[in-house]
Amino acid sequence: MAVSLVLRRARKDDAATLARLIDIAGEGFGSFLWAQSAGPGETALDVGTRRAQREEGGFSYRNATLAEIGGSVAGLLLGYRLADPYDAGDVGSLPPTVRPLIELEAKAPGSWYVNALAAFPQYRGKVVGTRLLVEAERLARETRAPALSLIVADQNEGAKRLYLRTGYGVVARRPLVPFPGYAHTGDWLLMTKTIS
Amino acid sequence: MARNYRHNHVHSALVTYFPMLIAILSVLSSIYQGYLFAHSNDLIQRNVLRGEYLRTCREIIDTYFQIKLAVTQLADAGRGANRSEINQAVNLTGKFGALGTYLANFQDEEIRVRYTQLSRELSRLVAAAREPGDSSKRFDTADSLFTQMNEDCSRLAQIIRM
Repeated sequence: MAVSLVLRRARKDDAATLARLIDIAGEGFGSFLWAQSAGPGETALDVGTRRAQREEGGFSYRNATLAEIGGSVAGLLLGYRLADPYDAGDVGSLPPTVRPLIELEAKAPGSWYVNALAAFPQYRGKVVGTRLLVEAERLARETRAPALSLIVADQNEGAKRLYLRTGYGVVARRPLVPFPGYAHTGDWLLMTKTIS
Repeated sequence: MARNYRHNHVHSALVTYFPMLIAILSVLSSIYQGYLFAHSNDLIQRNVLRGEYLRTCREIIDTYFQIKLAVTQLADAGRGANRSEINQAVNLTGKFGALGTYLANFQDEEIRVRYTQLSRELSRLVAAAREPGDSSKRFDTADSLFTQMNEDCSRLAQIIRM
């Protein structure tokens, strides 16, 4: 029997799955950040789950769309429109690992920001990623955003190729401050795609 | 006497012209109502057309990715793919072709040719899915044609809205 690919808005009870997928999208960056605010007996993913359960904030389940294949969650799109004007606040007070990301976000005010795009390993093979990117465009149009934006490590060749192939272009870069265990060095790239 | 004459004259002018004025106002009002009716009819038709067009766009996007998924699964299964999986993929390409034909009706000949190319490419991908090959580049042509179709969808939706 053939299986189908279905998109749906995430629910609050998807929070644990969202945390895992956000962590996959950031190649462990989520775990690294969440571990710093974990309480006694709490894991990094527990913190991520709590963040995803919130009604507001970038990681809120309300900003998430899930792709399901044959009824199982296969991938995640987490995105929202950035404020315009974008108030980066006191960038100097942020952790060095986060600082370049905020600086790049500030360069795309008003755009629809793809914060996380991920697929579970068994579902990787272009279909889920490209489907969710098309959905990102649809959601961006709904909010009348003038462009889409995302940040990717320059050395993450697979992801970068996917974004270039789907019409995104590099508009700015910042030196990447690697967190422990992160595979990439070099730069973070801000990529945008104008909405026609 | 003169005052009485002027009064009579004004009175008779009023009696003569007032109904004419009312008649003219009534004609103007009915013309305006006709215009409003035609305008609202046009708006309703545009909205229906736009809704229908957007629904078809959403469906064809969905179908495109269902085909990609089906091709990937057929490729994974290779010669072990069963007949129902193959039929499902073939049926999806048929559906894609039908939806593409509907969308092409809103477009010019050049775009119609592009949609036909995409339909044929998808049929080719389904037919060749179980053959060994470089899977990383399999969808390059289709993706490029699909990206243009997706852009046509959003562009025309904007035009119909106007």
